[in-house]
Amino acid sequence: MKVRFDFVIHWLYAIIWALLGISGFAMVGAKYGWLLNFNYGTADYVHRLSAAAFVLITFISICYEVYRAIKRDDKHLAWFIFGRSGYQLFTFIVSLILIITGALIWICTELEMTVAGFALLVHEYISYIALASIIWHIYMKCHALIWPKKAEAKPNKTQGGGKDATKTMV
Amino acid sequence: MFDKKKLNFWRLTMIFISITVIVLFMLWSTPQAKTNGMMDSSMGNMMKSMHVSNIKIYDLLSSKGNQQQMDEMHKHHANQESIIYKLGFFTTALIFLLLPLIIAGSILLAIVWIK
Repeated sequence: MKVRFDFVIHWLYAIIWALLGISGFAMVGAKYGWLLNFNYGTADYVHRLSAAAFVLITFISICYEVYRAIKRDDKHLAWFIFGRSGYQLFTFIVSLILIITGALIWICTELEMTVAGFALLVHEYISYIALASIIWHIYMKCHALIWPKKAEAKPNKTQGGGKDATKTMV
Repeated sequence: MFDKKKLNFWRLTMIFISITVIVLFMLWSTPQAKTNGMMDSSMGNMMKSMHVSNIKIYDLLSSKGNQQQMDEMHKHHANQESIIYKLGFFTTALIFLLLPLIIAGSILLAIVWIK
């Protein structure tokens, strides 16, 4: 079975985003604290570790896109997280905003509370928009969640043979 | 009215709703889990009222950080368990090393994509 790079990156990004979402919203306030049983310490550690993984995946994806641009590869990668149009472009911009504001919160809580406060406000509201967009994204692309059916191993001569059977793969 | 192609979405929705209801049900049955009064509003709204209520762009760019407060925070972080401190150092280093490269790559991609 050939595993595609864009497919792997997509699901790694999705898992890390889920971890960041759960730990992040659990830290936002008592309203969503129940997500991690009001354990803000654990939420903080999970969020910081997942954030590092998120930055790493974003970096790898950007490197891959730059490599494709140098190679003049214009092929559309359906599963890739970043791209020049549509939801891929939206994900790219939102990821950048979240990383930059996240880095400001990370460093500025020890230096400058005004900047940290402003970054936290933007970080939180962008997260709400991103979460809503993910629900919409899952709704639009839920047909991709159907597991591909294996074609019949033995070709059925009475019903047309093996070549047609492969067409039933989703 | 009901789109059969979207059946997977509704299945996922039902799973998430069930998990949420179970978590909420289990939490409501544990009376010791009390919330802090200060955390009633979200963190962003708290920051809005405390630090961002009356700021100008100048305030975002100028540094008026309290050195004593900073030292105290650093001391607190240094006193954490060794593994947590090391993890904190590693993640901070990773993020701040990759951040300039991410920004540079994004600018490059923006130029290539707009072309």
